[in-house]
Amino acid sequence: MDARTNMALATLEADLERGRFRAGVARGRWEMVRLQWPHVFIEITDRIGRRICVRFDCTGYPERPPQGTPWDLVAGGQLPPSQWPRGGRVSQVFNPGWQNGSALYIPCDRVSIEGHANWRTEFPWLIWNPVRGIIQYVEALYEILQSDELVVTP
Amino acid sequence: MPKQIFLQSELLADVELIEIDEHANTAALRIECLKRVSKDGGVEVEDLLFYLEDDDSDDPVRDLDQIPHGLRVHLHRLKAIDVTVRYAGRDVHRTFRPSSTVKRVKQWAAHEFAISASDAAELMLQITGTDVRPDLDTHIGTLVKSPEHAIAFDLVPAPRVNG
Repeated sequence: MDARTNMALATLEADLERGRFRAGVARGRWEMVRLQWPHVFIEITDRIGRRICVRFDCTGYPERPPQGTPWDLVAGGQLPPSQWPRGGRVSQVFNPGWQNGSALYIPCDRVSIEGHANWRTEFPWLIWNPVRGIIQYVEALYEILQSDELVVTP
Repeated sequence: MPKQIFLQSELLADVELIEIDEHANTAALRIECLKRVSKDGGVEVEDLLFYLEDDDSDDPVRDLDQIPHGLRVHLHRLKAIDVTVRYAGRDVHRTFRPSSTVKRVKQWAAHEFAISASDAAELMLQITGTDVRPDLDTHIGTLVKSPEHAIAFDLVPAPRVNG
């Protein structure tokens, strides 16, 4: 690893140790399950207690936003579209048809923010903030996964 | 095994994780918490009141027999914060302890406005006049620095990212 990559990894590790992230872990809202640079795998709990694993590509962290995609840890690949969280506004963010599922359709995502200058005024609190770090993306997904529009049937 | 304590305060920028000895008493907990907050601006330690999350008691830490793992505490100079929530052209008001979570304020507001739990899941609290939508676990005391003693929120729809 070069010095820049080392710094990015150290920043990510420090952010995963911050009180706000650990407080969410303690409450069962999310949990970091693997860190394999440049990817961090975080399980986020939905409103009925299911844990959705998201792989965040953190290349360029923290200046560049992460890129998130739902992940199957056992199979070691992207979660099949049929298993993505869905329903109402959940499906707007978890949209396997967007970028072939390689990114979540949310303003704090590295890929999705491209070409969406309007999001900067429409969703300013969701624009990536390097000071807040990975917790910003994780908190946003947690909020979405608590939606009553989330489909809970298989 | 050390116990994890989560501290929020008007004097902290974010949640602080504190690890204390499993046999530590509440006096030791209080000391550890006071070490973490900034005393800049002439804040006196004696002015800081110690609260438990979403607990309205006067001195709840004093009443603890033992310190539970994962305890959530708050340090603030105020005893109460005046909260206003606006929704659909109406305002509701009440006071909360600084250690009250945004989640609790939202639940109270939803009840006052007769909003069902399912409809409330599609709403968020946004600080009036800003684009800040604090996370549900945020203590409102972190948003109000003494001598300010009030905060207003708008209850707004959760984002729909569709364009």
